Amino acid sequence: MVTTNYMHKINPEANDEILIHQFKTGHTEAFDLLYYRHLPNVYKRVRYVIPENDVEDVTQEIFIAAIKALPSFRGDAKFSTWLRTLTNHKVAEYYRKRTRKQEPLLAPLSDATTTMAGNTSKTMEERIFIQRAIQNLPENYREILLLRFAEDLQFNEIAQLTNQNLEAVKSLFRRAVAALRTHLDK
Amino acid sequence: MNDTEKDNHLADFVDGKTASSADLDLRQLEETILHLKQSLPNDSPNSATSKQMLVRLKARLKREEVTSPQPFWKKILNFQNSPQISMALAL
Repeated sequence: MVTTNYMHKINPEANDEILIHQFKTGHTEAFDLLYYRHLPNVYKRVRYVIPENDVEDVTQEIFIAAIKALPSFRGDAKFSTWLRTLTNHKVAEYYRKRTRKQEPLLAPLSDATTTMAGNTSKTMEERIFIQRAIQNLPENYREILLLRFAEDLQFNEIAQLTNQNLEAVKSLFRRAVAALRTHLDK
Repeated sequence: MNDTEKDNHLADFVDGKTASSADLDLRQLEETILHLKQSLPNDSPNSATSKQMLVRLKARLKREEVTSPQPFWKKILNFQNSPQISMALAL
């Protein structure tokens, strides 16, 4: 239960529900804590499927969308689940915009010529090729690969999160890897 | 090896609990996993990067004028959460 006194302080240990409530009641600094708590997973997920040059931009868009939507967040799902859905939506939007601009074939490869520290353009090109293959997978395949590799969740954690049994999760994982291999071989 | 055994083997391989399989299909999937792990980073931003990203996010929010979590009318409607507004209305 949130008391009036408590609402005036931002407790770094407070759970997401309390921080969201505080944010909704005008304590905008509560968002900073939500941001630091959830940035790692959002960032890793985005970085896994978006070319390096656009990772921060897309990450920013996700948190801006979260700020705008938080006042209507009712808590039916966990905040982390809600944010994961929002992240997937923004990533899909990113690729839709590129497709609309007819950039998918040219732009990411030209991004690859801008080399980051320690990354050759060939590595970057390879990375973009894999990222695009992941993005082109059916949603359930893409999701399990992101949960296991980008978010580094164990199979039992994925089973719990997705309300499936462990065997079903492992089976889905193997089919997802097989589908990815097919895409990469094309 | 049946499908369930293949599922378990691949899961164990990803978790580093087992070595490569002799089964050709599984070997190919293991290669794909290694390729994925090598090519795509999954490291978290460090503390300094996180802070810088938040600063840039706030600057962008300021530019886009969405710093307020609620529109003005919603804040007024939410007066029950604000003792100051409640008191002002009570007076």
